[in-house]
Formats: sequence, structure tokens, C-alpha cells
Amino acid sequence: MAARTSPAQHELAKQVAGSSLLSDFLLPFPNLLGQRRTELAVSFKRIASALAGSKRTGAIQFTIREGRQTRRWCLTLTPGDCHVEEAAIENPNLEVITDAAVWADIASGKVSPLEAFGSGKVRVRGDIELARVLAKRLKR
Amino acid sequence: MADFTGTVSCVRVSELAGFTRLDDGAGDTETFIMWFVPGGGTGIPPRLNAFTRILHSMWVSLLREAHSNNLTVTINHAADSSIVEAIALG
Repeated sequence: MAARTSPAQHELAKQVAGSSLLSDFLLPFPNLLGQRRTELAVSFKRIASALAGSKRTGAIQFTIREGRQTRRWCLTLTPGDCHVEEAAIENPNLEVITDAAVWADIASGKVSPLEAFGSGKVRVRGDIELARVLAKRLKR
Repeated sequence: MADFTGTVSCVRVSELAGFTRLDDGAGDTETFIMWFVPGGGTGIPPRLNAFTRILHSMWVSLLREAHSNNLTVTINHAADSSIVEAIALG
């Protein structure tokens, strides 16, 4: 159970209770950024650590727009490991596209992935099941 | 404005959220949001009027038709958003 559940989150939890797909993304992530909201790379390293124990293979790319610049981080999953680097790859299994401020809110636990995605602030391309694996590994 | 053309691999609707996933047949898939209204469990969400609800119903009909008959649809959306702005069948 989440450490703090607002009334709005509680209501949302009731509404998604019947959908395992939506409920996987309901809870905010734990704080993956620490004190430095602007150092987004930290969040991807922590996600890689969480995914390292997964049996899944594949590649997840995070495309983050920051003003006129676009940065990409690629997480490559192999059985028992996950490698992260700031680089773009062709044909990732899953791509998450958003801007830096929204990712900082998600990665710091301020907003849940479901709320961010449902508000249209995040695009998700590719294997949604891999996104579910990511969300489950990060559940606090 | 951006668009994505493909076949419908998934349509999920509830009072809370409606979303769909398209597959372009070349390995690319993307999930789009038709509506997402937290707090909608208390009746018709005030943010959505009758016209908007009818529009959503039409979208679901198009997607259902496309899914059943393996037809192609095109979804228009803002370049940086997953929210559906328009759906075209065929």
C-alpha cells in the first residue's frame, strides 16, 4: 500500500480496481530522483537497477524533451541484468515519450504514471506489457 | 498535429477511461487515450458534456468496426500527446 493516499487517489483506486492493466500504473513511483529533480539520468539508473532482477529481455527507450533539446536513454534488458546508457536505439520494444518536467514529476513520485498518461502528457509506443513489468518492479 | 495509421489491436472502455492501441503492421504500436476522467464514478463527469460523450461513443463504434473487420484507422493527436483528437476509418 502507498505510504500516502490522497482522497483523489483513493477514488481513482476504486475506479481502476477492476482493471489490472490500469491498476499497474496507479501508484506513483518511489522517488527515483532524490533531491535533484533536474538530474534525470539518476532515475534511469535506478529503473535499470530495479529491472535487473527481471527475466524479461528487450529494450526500453525514454525520449525526454527539454526545451529544444531531446535526450534519450536506453535500457537494455538481458536475463538477470539491465544496462542503461544515454543513447538512442532503433526499434526499442517500448518507448516512453514525454517532456522533462513531466518525467521529473513521475520519477519523483509526485504524479502517478496513470495520471500522467491519462492526461495526455506521456506517449507510450510499443509493448505495454513491458511497461507493466517496469511499473510492477518499481512498486513501493 | 501528428497521426498514426494502423489496425486496432485493443479497445478498452470504462466510465473512467477509454483507450485504444493501434498496430501499423511494421512493428510499431501506440496506445491512445480517448477519455480519462478520474472522479467520474459519481455520475456524468462535469467536464464532459453530452456532445463529447456522443463523440466518444462514435469513436468506439469506429474502432469496434475496424477491429472486427481488420480495417485501418488513422488517429490524429497532438505531436506531444497521446490524447485522441480525431479518428478516421478507412
